[in-house]
Amino acid sequence: MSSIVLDRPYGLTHQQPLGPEHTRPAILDLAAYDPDRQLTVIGDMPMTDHPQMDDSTTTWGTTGNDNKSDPDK
Amino acid sequence: MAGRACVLVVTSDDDYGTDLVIQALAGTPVVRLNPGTGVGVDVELTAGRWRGTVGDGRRSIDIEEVCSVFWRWPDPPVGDPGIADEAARRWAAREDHHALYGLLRGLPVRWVNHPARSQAAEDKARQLTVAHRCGLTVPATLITTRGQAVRGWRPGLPLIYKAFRADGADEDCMVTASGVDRSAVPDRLLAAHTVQERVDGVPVRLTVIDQELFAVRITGTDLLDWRPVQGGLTYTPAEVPEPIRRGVLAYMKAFGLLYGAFDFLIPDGGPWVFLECNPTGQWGFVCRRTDLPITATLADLLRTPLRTTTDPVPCLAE
Repeated sequence: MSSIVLDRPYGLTHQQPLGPEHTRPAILDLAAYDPDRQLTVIGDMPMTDHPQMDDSTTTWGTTGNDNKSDPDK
Repeated sequence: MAGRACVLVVTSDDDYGTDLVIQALAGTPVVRLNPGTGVGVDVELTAGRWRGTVGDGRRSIDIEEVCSVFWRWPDPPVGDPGIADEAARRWAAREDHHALYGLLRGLPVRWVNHPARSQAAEDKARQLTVAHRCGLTVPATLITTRGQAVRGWRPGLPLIYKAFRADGADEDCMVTASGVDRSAVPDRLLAAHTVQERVDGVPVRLTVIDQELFAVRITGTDLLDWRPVQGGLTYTPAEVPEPIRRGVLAYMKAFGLLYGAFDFLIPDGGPWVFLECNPTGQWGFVCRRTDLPITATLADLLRTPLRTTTDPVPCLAE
């Protein structure tokens, strides 16, 4: 028997915040989907050509910026 | 069937990784749909086949022209914005969902991956049994709602906790795989929990596209879970041992996948240990930091026609 009682699932004790520099960098506020080119642009530059692309194709697993692995949300 | 030559991409607007594929497909007709922006359907059942167009709020595609589908993370239909009544709009969204997804999911073309197959391959518990059946080494694993079971499992050995999904309960929080202090585990866990015996080793991300394998060793952190610091890590291409290659390809075949993002560990002196496989996982962070032609391989697969008259998910009829 344990005397420990939690009011949230134990697994959430393994939860950690990731800073906005990772999960929502300011540059993304300047990014917009271009429906004609069918990709995201920052200004007139495709995001694929922008350094931010390195951190925008990562595998964060955060709420609101998950890697969205659910194929049928 | 003769007109099929267009790649259909179904995903959200902010799926930046897919932008890489769109660019790599330059010269190939591509239509990218996001059902969250709207749904347009105009098809007729003719001689047992659907003919006509489907689309989102921006563009449409003749379903007879589709040669392959790249299905990622589409936003769900939200209902026509002209519907003021919320309940009616939800109803409309559901109808749109069934119409559009029902039509698309039956397309007899190449799927990377078919959502039904990805959904089955998402089950973490099932992943471990299938990996074992395919000859891959898997960690000793316990899934339980009882804290007593965790505290008494494999006494003396280090354990880790790992969530089924990494996204946390709170905004911008991630539940990382990390060590378990048995003395801090309550009797009531308040949810199903996965606990594994800790395996020490070098992490590997193995991206698989059809028969092509792209592995990188990940170094630069002592954390059990490298994801929170992935921007500062080093990714070094690695050879895949033949037994692992065979096991991984058997795993892909078992789930009917053409794309998979696998995580392994390489322990000192032991075989690679399978951790999990994300059937719609990211690959951009690997190919952006290495010369591995992951995106080009994906694009080549998608532009290669596959003509079939069979259902794309025959297991549904078994």
